[in-house]
Amino acid sequence: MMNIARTWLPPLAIGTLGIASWEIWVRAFDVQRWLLPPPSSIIREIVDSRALLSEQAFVTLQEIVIGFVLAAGFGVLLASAIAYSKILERSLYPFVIASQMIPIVTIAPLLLVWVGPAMTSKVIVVAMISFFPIVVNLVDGMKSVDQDMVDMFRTLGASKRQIFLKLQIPTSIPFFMSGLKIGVVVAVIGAVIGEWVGATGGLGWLMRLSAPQFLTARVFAAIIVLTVMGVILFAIVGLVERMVLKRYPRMN
Amino acid sequence: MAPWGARSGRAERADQYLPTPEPDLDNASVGTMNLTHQSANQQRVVDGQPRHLLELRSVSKAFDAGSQSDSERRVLHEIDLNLSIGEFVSIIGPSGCGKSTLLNVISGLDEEFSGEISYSGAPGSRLGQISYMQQKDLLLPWRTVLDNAALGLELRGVSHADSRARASERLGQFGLEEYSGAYPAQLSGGMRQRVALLRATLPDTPLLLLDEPFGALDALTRSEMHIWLVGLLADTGKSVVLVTHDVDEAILLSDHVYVMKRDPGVIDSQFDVVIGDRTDPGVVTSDAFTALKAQLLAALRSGGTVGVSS
Repeated sequence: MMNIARTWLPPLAIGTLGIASWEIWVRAFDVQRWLLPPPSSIIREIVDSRALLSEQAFVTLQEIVIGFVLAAGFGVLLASAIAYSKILERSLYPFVIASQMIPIVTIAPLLLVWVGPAMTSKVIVVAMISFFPIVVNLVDGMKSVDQDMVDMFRTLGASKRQIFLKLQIPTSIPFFMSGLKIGVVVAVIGAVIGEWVGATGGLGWLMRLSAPQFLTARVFAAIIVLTVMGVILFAIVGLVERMVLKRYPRMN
Repeated sequence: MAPWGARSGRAERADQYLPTPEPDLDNASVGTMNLTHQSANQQRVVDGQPRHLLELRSVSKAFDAGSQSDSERRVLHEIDLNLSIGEFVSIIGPSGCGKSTLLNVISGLDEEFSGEISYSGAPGSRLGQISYMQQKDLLLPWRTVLDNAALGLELRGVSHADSRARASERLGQFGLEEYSGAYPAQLSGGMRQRVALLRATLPDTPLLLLDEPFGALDALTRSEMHIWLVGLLADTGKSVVLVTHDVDEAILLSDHVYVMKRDPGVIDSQFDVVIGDRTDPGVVTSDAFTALKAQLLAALRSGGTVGVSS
């Protein structure tokens, strides 16, 4: 009990203090609602527009989940190729890195032109942005195998393929989980960037639409929903990681 | 068919290469101890023909010593070694004398050496045909005891079910039957070493290399492991090369002890071990044992150059 209090009390106190000062500030100095709405009206906005917000949140959530799953699958294939073969590493890795040097906001409008404003373009942006940390972590993990372990496999007559499947892949699983945790966070950002550039729905689209109409409370409401969604997604990956690490601990 | 092709011929060959005979107690009591000092590359010749499971001829290996020196560091220099079927040989020597390098060379892990090695009469790759157990247990944390033990068979293409079944049959012999489903993190150091040994020996190879396998264990566990290993090996008829720092261990387990010297790493002297019942804990205080230990320690201190021939 004491531990829970010690963990949660400080951030709760800071949060409450911040929100309270914000509320008091806005009321005391009579700040315009369209400029900065008080927390109370943001909460009222969340309650009042819950149907709209959840509908748009669901659109964004789909983009994140589909894009993230694609990134994970593609990331595993790419990392395996890079870790397995020196030639593939030399031919593929530079492009993996180069792909992250291109600002995603410059690619997103092109995707709109190519595949249209529907969900697909956002899924692609999410996948493009979140595959990178997954690949980099996985490659590191697959290469982090202990040389003594490799030697042990060799004395048992293992082939390169067997060493890869039965040693390198299991060894890299904790690294894969780290990659997924970073990947899911940037996936949320990717979805919003994609929607910002052009979309027919989603929380990013809602923010983009609401700001010019001075529906500032609604923008804040969307930000809060997005934040909560991101935290929940991160927590889910973290939970999966904890279960997986029991079976596949980090070596060394 | 096993690539080393020794299966059918093994039984009759084993007869020809019986270990050193039991000590002559009368001689021991008058102090000659049956301890002999022989040249390191003494060959056993049967029917005028040397036939060994493992033969090393002038095996040498050098590393660059760095920029300060023109010369290379000779880790192994002109090593000759013969091992018959069923023979247990220990190699002792100071740190850095090349003991572990020698095992890496014999196992086939290290291919950068000069000289010749023939194993079961065939020159090709020895990887997968010699059991090698290192000091670290190197168990895979995501596999159970049974699956760790079965790894070697699995890698040879034995089906999952078959390799598990064969590993399972041997668990009892290794005192692990109750831990079949346990993960390595749940085991004691001695148990982990036994799993590693089971994994190494389950693919039925005629030669086992041991690199300080019990070095990380406490003294009591280690001596228990010694007694257990003596019993285990008596059943299997495997040949063994053991590398160790522990002189007691070398005497307790081997038929012959080789003393290595460093810079350059050479086999300097060889001792035949003739002691009483190795499974008797009292053997370590017997006269034969202590006399041999004194000689080995002297040989180690002097780099093995002291004259100890009887």
